[in-house]
Amino acid sequence: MKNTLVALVAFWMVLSFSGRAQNSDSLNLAADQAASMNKLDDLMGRAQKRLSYIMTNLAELTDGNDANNSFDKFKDNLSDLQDIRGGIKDRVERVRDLQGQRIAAWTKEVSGLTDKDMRKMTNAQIDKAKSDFDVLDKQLREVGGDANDLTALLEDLKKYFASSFTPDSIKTCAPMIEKARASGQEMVKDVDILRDNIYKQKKEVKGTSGN
Amino acid sequence: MKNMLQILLATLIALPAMNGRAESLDKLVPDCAEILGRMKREDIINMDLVKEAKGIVILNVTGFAIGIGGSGGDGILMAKTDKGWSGPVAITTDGGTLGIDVGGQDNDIVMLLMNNGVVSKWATGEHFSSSSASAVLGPKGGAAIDTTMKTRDFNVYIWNKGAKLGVNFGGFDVNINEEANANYYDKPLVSAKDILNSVAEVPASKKDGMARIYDLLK
Repeated sequence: MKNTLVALVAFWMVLSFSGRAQNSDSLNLAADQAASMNKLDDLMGRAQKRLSYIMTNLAELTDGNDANNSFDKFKDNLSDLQDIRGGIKDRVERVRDLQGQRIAAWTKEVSGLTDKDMRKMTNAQIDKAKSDFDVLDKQLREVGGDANDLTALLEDLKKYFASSFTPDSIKTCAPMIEKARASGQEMVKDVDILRDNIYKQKKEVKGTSGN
Repeated sequence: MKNMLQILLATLIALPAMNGRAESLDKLVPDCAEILGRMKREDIINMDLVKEAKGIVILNVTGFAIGIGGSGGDGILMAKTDKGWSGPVAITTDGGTLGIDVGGQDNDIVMLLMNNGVVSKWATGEHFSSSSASAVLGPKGGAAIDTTMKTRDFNVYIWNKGAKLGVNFGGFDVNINEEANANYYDKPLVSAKDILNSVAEVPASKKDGMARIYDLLK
């Protein structure tokens, strides 16, 4: 009797664990993709904060009492921003890669379905997931392009002030500082819009992962 | 001797935690924008109720080391004026159980202050006992709002690693971070009241940093 009970418990445990291991590749990849999108969102938040510091540093460069201190802070924050941007670029590549893998795995799984209507329905879901991600990817590229322009301008300002840092040179450069501040302000807004979409997409992807 | 050593050790542990909390507004403003942005994005906060609020508190509250007890928060207070939202007042909170014991050691909190009396209490740095104010978890984004929600003292929103938590509102003290306010507004004697009435305005060099919060509050 005791042996039977032990055997039954063992059989139940094997069944439970085998059930958990039956997640398809596409579902496992969806969970990885959602986690990766979370990390991307965190990095973007850090970049927004750093950009906010930089805009304050630039404003204080022209308005403040301690231009040297503001310029030092500007250089430090720009260096941090560049590091975070490196992390964002890598993370975006990872999200794209996981999207490609997930769609490929999902498509392969659909080909195993025998019912024609089931195949049609699931293919429609895959098409929607692809087109939604295309919209997000386009947005990522656009914001990325604008971020390239902005950081190039900020690097130029750093180079300019490295060779000429006087009240006159700051005054001469004021229009470029204003341009950088306006671009920075736009960038913060665009990143908020982008993050809204990342959040929506992450929820969609998570929905398919069953988490 | 043993007791003295224990007190010394407790002080050494507590000091870095407390000193670390009094942040400058240059850092607090982007941090608070991030908290508000996340709550808005994830539909945690009800934006219709934000329109009804007379003030807002955005805080990050952290629990102290085990054995010390209590909690500490660092954030900003803003009031609605005839011209729109005021500039930020840097505040800290000490003690109490502001969300801490319901969900771990690091909580982001947004409180909508629904009447001018409560805004004034925050601005003067009062002690809030658990019975001194009616605090309830606010309705989530998109939910219909009713008179009760508009008339209670606070609508509270707490975020902890994606979890929406219940309200726990034990006694805590509000302190005005005078030094941070003086540095930010470049006025040594600026008062919280002047900031909240927009008598002291956000300096031109700080407006870029505040723009995100003002946008998010629309």
